[in-house]
Amino acid sequence: MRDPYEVLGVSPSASEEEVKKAYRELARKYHPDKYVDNPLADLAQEKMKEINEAYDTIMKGGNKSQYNSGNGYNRSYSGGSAQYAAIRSAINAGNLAFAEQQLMAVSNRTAEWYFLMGSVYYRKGWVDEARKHFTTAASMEPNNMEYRQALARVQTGGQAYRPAGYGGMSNASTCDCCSSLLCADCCCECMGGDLIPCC
Amino acid sequence: MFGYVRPLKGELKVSQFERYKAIYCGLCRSLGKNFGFAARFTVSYDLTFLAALLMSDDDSGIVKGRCPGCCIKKKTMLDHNSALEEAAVKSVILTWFSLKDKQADGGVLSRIGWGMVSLLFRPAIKKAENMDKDFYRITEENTRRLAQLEKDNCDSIDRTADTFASILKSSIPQNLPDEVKRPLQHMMYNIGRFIYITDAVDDYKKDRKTGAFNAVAARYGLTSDDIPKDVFEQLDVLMENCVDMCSSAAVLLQTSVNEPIISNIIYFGLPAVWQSVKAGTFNKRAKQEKS
Repeated sequence: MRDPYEVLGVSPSASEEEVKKAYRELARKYHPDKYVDNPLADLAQEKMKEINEAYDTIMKGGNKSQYNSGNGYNRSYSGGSAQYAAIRSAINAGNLAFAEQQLMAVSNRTAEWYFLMGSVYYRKGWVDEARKHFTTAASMEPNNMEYRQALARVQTGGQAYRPAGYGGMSNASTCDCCSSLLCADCCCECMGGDLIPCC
Repeated sequence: MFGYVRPLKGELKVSQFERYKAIYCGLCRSLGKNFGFAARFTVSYDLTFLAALLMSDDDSGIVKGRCPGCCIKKKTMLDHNSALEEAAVKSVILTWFSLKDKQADGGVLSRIGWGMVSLLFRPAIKKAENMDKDFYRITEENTRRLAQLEKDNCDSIDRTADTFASILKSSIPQNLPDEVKRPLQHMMYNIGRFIYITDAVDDYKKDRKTGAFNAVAARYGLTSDDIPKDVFEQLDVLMENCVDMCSSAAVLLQTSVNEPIISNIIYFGLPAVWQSVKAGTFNKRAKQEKS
């Protein structure tokens, strides 16, 4: 195991406050929310595990790490019909070529088909195709939350981590209603409360 | 190359800007040493970014050298290192294929002109092909794939952008450990997408005049003289996503002395270039109009 102080980027003489601050900044960097459907999610999860362990070692169990390094990184493609179970697990495992090949062989294209194809495209970095497919899926089944969330994510962008001092694109709007609510939720969570219980 | 991947100078510290210049000049020197004088003309901001990305902190030897473009004062530049050499080979190969592309596209006079230029580059490209057969092959394959997609007037901008993105993705050496290689590949893939889409927007007016294939026009079925606002809004999302993906890769890389330069390029440089290309003020256009 690497030196925990080195992992958190603080000196061994750092105060508890400094350690906490460094830990929080790193946790923000590798947070699962920043890696939803990202092909590098597994590497971010490894990093999160490493900083959690480093933090717990330094704090010697006094103050447990607060960020989960578990399954939050893989959006679980668990719902849906049995027909697509193998394809969903292929997408989860990052086997995109197989998933795409299987999907192309399907002739009856349901909303779920468009959603899964969109997910494959999104992971490949083909954001425009992903958006087209998610839009079709969401219009075929307007009440499906999974499809609507996927569409919303692909339409907003600008969710990635930005180091302090590096602003986003000048025309990126972070003031829409959803973002504000999510910010409020994060603030509440930091203070120990919770505004939106499901996230 | 295109020069779209550059830092925003005003946001760099003086020392960081000096280092960026030293990498740029080092790349040019490396091109001259390995591939002859003509290859120096292929030096670009885009490949300087690749060199900065591949460089380890041990590759920081500095030399003073003469710049053929400015012979009065000696310049500070990075000494030869493996990252500069990797970027130099890629620079020669990419320029070669873009020359061939220009030769195929233009009229009789420009064909002769580009033909003569490519004759000049022939020794360099032979050497580069031998040094990096894989990159040469992947570039050749994807260039061919793009030509076919253009012929078919492909209306998927992701599919056409994938050709150039795949080329840049393959500029990352295969022998790196997985946890380093994958973020680097992911970053270069998205840099490739960024360059391709930006270039399509930058060339939109010219392509409308000449009737050449344009990926943005094909995707949105455009026939107007200017790109409409709602199309720009959709393209903004694609570009933000490229920056996001580069960011998600960058934070997984080990910190290095070049990190401030790389962060500047990703978070300031790319958005600034995109905005100026959208506004039609990017200097490539200005240069073309001058000549």
